Amino acid sequence: MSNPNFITPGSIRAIALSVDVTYLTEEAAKALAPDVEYRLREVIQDALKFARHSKRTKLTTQDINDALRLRNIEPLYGFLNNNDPAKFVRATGAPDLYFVRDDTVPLEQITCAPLPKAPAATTVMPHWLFINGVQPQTEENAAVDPRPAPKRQRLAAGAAAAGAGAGAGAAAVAGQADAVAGQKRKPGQDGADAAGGAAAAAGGAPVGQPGERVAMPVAHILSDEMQRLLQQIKATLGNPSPATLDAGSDERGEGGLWGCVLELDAAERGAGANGSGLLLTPMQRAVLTTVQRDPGMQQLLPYLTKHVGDEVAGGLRQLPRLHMVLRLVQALMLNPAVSLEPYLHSLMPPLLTCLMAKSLGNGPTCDHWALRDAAAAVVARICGRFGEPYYSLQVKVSKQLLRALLDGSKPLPTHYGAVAGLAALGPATVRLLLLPQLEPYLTKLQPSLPGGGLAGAAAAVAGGSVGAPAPGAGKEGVRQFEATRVYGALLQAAGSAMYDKLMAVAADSLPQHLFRTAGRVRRSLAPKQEAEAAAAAATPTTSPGVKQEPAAAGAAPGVAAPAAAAVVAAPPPVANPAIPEVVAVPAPAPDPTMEATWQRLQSDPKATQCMQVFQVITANPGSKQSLSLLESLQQLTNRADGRANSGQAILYQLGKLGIGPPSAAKQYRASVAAAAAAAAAAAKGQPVANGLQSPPPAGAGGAGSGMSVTPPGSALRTPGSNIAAAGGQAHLGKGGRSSGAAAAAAAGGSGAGAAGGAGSSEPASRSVRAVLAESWREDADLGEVVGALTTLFGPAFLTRLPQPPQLPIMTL
Amino acid sequence: MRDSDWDQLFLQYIRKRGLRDVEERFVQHVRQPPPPGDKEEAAAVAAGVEMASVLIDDLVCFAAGHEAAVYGDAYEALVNWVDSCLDMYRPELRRLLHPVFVRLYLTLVDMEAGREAAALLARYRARVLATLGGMRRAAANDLSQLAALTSRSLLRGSAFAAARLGLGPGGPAAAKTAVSLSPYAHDLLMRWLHTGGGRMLPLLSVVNSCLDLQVLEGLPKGAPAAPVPDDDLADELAGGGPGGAGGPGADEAGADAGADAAEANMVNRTEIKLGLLQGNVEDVYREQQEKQKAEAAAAAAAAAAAGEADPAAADGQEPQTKKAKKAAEKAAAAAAAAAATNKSVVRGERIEHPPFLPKLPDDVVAAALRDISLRAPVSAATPPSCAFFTFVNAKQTLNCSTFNCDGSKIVAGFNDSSVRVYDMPTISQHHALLRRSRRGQVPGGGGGTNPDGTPAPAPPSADDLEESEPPGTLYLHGHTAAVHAVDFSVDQRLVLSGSSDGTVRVWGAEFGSCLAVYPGHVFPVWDVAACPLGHWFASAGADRVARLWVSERTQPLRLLVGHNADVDVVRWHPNCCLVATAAGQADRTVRLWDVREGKCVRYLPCGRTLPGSPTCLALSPDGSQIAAGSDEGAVAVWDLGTARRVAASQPAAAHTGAVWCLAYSQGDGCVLASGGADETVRLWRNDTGEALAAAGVAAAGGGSGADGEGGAEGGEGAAEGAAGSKEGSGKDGKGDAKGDGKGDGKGAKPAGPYAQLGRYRTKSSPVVSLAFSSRNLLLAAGPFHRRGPIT
Repeated sequence: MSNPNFITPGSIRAIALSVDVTYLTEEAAKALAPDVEYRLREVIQDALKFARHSKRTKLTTQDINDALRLRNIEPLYGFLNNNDPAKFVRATGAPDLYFVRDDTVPLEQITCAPLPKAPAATTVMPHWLFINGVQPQTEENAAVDPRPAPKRQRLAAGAAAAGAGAGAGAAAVAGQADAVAGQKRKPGQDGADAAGGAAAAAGGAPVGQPGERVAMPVAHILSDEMQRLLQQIKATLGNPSPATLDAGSDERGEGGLWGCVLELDAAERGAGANGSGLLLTPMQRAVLTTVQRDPGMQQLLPYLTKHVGDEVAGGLRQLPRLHMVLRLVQALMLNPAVSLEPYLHSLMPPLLTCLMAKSLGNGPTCDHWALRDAAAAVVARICGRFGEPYYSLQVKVSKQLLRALLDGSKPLPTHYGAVAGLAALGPATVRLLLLPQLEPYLTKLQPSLPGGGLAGAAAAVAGGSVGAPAPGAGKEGVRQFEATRVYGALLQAAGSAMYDKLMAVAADSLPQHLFRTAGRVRRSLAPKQEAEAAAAAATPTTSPGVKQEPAAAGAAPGVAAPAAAAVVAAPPPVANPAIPEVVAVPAPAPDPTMEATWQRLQSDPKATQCMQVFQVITANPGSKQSLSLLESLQQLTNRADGRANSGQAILYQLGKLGIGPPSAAKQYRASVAAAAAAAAAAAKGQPVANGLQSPPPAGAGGAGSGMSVTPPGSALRTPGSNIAAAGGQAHLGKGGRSSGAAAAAAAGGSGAGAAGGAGSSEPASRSVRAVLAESWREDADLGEVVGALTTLFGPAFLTRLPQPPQLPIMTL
Repeated sequence: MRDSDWDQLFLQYIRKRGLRDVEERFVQHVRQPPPPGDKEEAAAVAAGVEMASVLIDDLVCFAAGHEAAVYGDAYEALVNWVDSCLDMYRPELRRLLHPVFVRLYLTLVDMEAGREAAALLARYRARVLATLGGMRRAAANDLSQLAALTSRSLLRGSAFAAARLGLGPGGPAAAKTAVSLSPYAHDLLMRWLHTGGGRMLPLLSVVNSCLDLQVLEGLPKGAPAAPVPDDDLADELAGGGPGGAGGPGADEAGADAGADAAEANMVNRTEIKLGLLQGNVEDVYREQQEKQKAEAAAAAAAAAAAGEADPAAADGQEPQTKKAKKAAEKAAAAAAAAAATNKSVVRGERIEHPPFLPKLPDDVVAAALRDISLRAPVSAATPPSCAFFTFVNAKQTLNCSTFNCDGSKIVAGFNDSSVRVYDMPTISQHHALLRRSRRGQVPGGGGGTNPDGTPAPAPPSADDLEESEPPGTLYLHGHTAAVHAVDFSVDQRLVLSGSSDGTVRVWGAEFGSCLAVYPGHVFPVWDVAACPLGHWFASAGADRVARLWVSERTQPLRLLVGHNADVDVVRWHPNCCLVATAAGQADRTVRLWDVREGKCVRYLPCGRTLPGSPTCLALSPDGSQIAAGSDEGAVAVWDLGTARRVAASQPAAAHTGAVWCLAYSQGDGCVLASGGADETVRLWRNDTGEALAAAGVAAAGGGSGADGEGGAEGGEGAAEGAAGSKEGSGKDGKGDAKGDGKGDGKGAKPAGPYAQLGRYRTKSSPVVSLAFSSRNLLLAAGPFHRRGPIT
């Protein structure tokens, strides 16, 4: 049997020691312990009686003292202050031993301390607990709500309770005032407007325990301050003053504030959005900042939501108002103290209206595209932020967007909005929803495009003629222009999605995957380019276009063979068996400047390093060191300073020996193989496209710069033309398509000229539609997808993809 | 030890035994101890003698083991010790008493000490009946068997005694009664038996021979294997629960079993008159109503007869007149029949107004009659409304509170030994002012103008108002310790308070001064209750006694003794001739006492039906039932006439904390309200009351329309202090509709008596007191306290 006693003789001895009884016999301790325990139990029993008759469930020190007094024992002094409960400290080493920390308090401190504030007087507050058996949902009554209040609200309510100085009393006092619920109650509370606002939202009383919410006595009561603020917000944001627009030109750069509020590159769109409300007066800026920062906005939320709805409904013709609405929503969303969740259902429709309305602004000439883009950004942002708790939100939105896109009866601006929205929702959404639908949609879109084809649209998009409708004015012109916009949006969406995917793959350092992909792209592209080059040569006046494609393809067998043969023949391969295949390049064309530079380098004492490099490479071209040196040389040539010349010169000399950078070598090999295949195919008289099916053996080796749109021919050329090609690429990357075409022309059939011809001939065994339908899969072959997209969009698509200079760096 | 020492020992033994003759003889032969040679030897001798004297004491006791008186004394000591033991362990230890008594009695008889045995038996029986109000049938059986055994010869022949003494077939082991004890109780018992020294030897031997002490780990309550005798008793007395089909039969069987068994239940077989007093207010009101109705009916009948007679007379046709006469007769007969049924509705017998009770003052009667006429009908179908009065800033110091009959005044007792009277109209005004000043501050500094253009007096700022002492509070200082009970006298002019300083004080609510002090209790006073007729009051306290007082004497008129533990609650029966008390902890009983004789007339053990200690009582307005709530959240109802349990709350529906207060609705008592520490008010339907009410309504006919109208008014009138009255009345209509629907739904569902009607949570206030106002508005009060650490 375990000892039922809590007080052991050991405790007695310890207590005796603590009161300076140093000698206590074991027997005495043994005799005392049970007695002490019995007395303690008696005292506790009596104290519990006192607590029970005080209708309390907690034992207080007062109860203990009452019990002691009942037994004529002197009470324990110093523990009566219930406001400062005794702090029990656990003794280290003993799990069940606690003691009260009894600090030494200087008397001076007590005597000099100011008198404590008198406690608030006890008083009585009546209210209805229930009426005819039904509990009214007043704030004095705790409502039973199984849903716990949002944490922030709870915290705010707690803060409000703490702020309400007199604690429970004040809270109940306030609770008494039914109509004053939303009003400010204490002057001290105004400072903490955060607490005030949220507390009013929470019913203005401390939420006692989780799971209980206090219902509002009336629907909603807004304090005067908040009403004024609401008026101010509405007035300022509702009417963008014309003066603003006039003065706006020099404020254009001041998007600094909105850099955070509205993450749209307003500066870039500034030209298009001429005075469309993107410019803000300082007042508007201040108001928006308030909306973004003020923690009390939650209270205004219902009104602001309604404001948003009204503005969109009433301001469909006024783009500035709509822009302002978007900014307001964005600001609300950025406000950390505002929970938009309850109002999402009423916020989304106006936003989707901004995104997909049939017509916005005054006529088709105004730039409603920027608004749609902005709306898409906001919608995407909402989806991203609330997608977690409301997982169906994004699904619903994207479904709606897709439905709008696929509905042929909807006008093109709506389609544009849908595409923009889908694009904003992220690459995954695009790949999943948009790409599979691309092929049929583009087919439908084609008739509307200017020039009657995709290439024309591509040219239009590339030409930057987005600011105004195409020259062909009138209804048809507008439609063409709109179709161009849609095409551009699609291109943008698909391109960025694929770009994202490719970059992700590259960043994941999965070069094999990429290489495989690139290999197929190359496989699919190279013959076409060859064929196209031939076609272009055959019919130079024909503008490249989809409609002519069959003809071109048909013409290909005839003309391709000699052209391909010519191409293959042009760079004679250097048959130097000493040079490993990795670095084998054709000898560059003779270039006097390079020779001169080389001479200078050789004579320059400072350039000994270069000579060392040269010697190292020539000594063992296939070694690892040489490879890296070659690659760095290749990169050196891209620099714009004097060293580029040196690098080029070295490369030139190396090239004369048949040694080149590995990348160039790969391109060379690939082109050789492809040309051979094409030649073979042409020789057999088969369609060019079928040539793909005989896998080029060299292509299997993979190409580091496989994504290059640069035709192999340029890579095979001298470093000088390499520069030109690189420059062309850079240009293309910026979207300067026309100049890019010029550069390409200068480079001799490179660039857009060649790529533009990569038309819609069947690129692979699988149809474009099938490839795209599976493009969402993680293991989808990117090469095929890119190829299919290129087929659909034309060469302009390739400009959206990572440029060659980027990929090698990443893959290395 | 030397021979001389032995001589000394023997001499002392003889002295102790008081054998003077032997001593005289012996002294002559005693060898004188040698003179102490040196100090050491002397010290050794002294030590030896010291030790020997202890030995002698034990020897004496051992020798006296054969003396009857020692046994009786030992038993008394045991009983006293058990009674003064810790409450927690007392029920366990009390279980020892019966086996020990049986064994002692048999031992005494075996010693041929018949006189002592009879005395022991008589004392035991008296004690059992006084403190327990009855005994188990087995115990009663034992007693009757024992009473028959008066001599050793009878003892030898009795199988009963043989079994008890361990002489039976089972041997000594079979004679042992298994008693389970918690470790600490066992420890206490052993220590007490051992510290008693030699005097305890006989008791120790008895305990060892007749008890098989089993020590079970855990707290005393966690020993389900060994039911407390009270429980058995409770079950027996309760007659198998509310079903009660076998109850009367079982009782009959018990009566047949023997006179002792009958005697055991004697307390609950006492004839008591539970009827209301003649001429109580309800009856007076009903009579008035009947009179009015009869007059109205007669007038109507007369008018009808006249109306029919007139055209008949005009026509001059005889048959018509006859028909009219017949109609008039029929109407008169119907009126008479209605009156007769109404008379039968006055249910239960009425008892004569006892002479010692005062008559109600006329103004009180008039007010009561007015209130009754305005009373809202309350039943399961029409649930009551509840005004909750939250004590703010009480900081855990509020102990008790009560309302006057219309809820306009609240009196509360505090831990700081003050009694405070709150005047609700004044306080509400203050709050309204506060609210106005706050609202006025918000728009623009407050300086508004009245509608007539005159500048309004600048209202005091909210801060000032909040800082200042709120008006309408009357402090009554005088007690020197926490006040645990307060009550209003029937005319609302006196306030009674009981405090843990052991006094009851009477205060004039109007003057705010103490009028009288009644210092009868030695220990804290836990409860006071004023007689519904005035003049008398009752108090109960920690000295295990309830006292009856008249206000003009400072000494109690009656002591109601019998509870084994602190008397926690005392309540008056509606007829003022009975008082109900409840005691918790070691006692756990509810008892009813006759005021005139001061003796217990009903003994209702809580047993398993009401787990925990009773904390509150409520008597139904018709006086037939009593409800008790316990500190474990249970509510149980007994029928007082049969002492049978009517209902007990299901654990699922019970409070989750202690029940602090109970109240029956006025009039028929159709609804029982309970409030507790779990911060809820719960309503329970009283089906018996409802059935009576339904009968009453059916018989009374159209009289209820006026009642209903008046009810709403009454509700408002009573709560005119409540700030939310506007809102309340605004929601009345909706509430009505909902309430009806709910009530119907509940009514359709078959449920036991006292099914729960509703559960209403306060925000953060335990419900400390509940009362139905005289117009049937439920008034509840409790201190607001935030959860978390005590502040």
